[in-house]
Amino acid sequence: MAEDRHERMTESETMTEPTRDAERVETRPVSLVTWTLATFDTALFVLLGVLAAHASGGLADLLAGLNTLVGVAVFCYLWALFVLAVRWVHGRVSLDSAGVSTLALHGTAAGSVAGVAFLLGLFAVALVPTLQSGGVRLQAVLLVLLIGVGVAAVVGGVVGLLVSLLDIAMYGLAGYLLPEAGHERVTEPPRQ
Amino acid sequence: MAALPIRTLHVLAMAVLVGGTTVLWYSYRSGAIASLAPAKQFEWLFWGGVGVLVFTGVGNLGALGPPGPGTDWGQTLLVKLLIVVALVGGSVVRTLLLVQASDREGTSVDLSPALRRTLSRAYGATAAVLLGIVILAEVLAHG
Repeated sequence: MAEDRHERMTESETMTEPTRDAERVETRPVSLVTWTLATFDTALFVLLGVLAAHASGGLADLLAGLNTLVGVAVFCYLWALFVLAVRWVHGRVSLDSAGVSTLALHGTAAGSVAGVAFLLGLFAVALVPTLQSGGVRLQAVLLVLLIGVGVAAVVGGVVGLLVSLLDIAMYGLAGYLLPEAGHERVTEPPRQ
Repeated sequence: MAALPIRTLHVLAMAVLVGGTTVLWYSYRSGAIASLAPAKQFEWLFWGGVGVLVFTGVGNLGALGPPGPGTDWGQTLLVKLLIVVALVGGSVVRTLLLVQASDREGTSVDLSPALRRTLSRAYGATAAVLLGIVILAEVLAHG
């Protein structure tokens, strides 16, 4: 046991910085690109919603009916769904080699599933206690849920499509702005 | 009850973002950092901070009960929200640029001056926009 620990310590001491970084990256459940794009998509989704509500003058009424802790929980749930959706897409198609249509199709599918999962999550939290107390009829809830799932799948799909197109555009823009490799690199002149 | 922790978290997240981007701007500008690893580590924190800033920001708005866009306060909030959207859009390009540069450079520790200049400008611009948002937040909080 102690030898193992010593061996591991010696290994980590001799490991170079880039090797350690690479190992750390491999052990992470999501890549930096997934984390970045998922958070970007979530933040943009919420910000555009807030912006639209504020511009129409209905933000105060909207937020007045929302408990702070419930709002935080809903945001974190939405964030987690975006991370899972983006991770699923990036696990199947690569941003730099796949075509736009392939990425958009995967984005739409992931968005649909995420939309349904979002609705079901809200349903589970909001309606199950009411159902248990017998305040609502089960048949009526199932009918509403069925229609809701269809609407959530379509809305989620449209959001997923728009978001994946935006992500592709941002990735392309970043590649365009990246300076050319090899120019101006300070290296020693070759020895004669 | 939850307003004070939410506000504290909001301020702390902003402090991390302003501090981190300013340090990276200065470090790439002066040449104190010659690799992409510190920036890549910071980007994880940056996007976590952005998420925290957004939900605590909406939480703060809920606690304040914002007036409509016709008032001075509402106009300032509108400008702040638009700048935040621009910051998030600009930051995603910066992070993806960093990731693509890292994929290209591999484990090389010798950054090209052009890439160092680009990163310095990107972090400098982010820090400047963040400071602009802080000033607008001050105006919203204290008039």
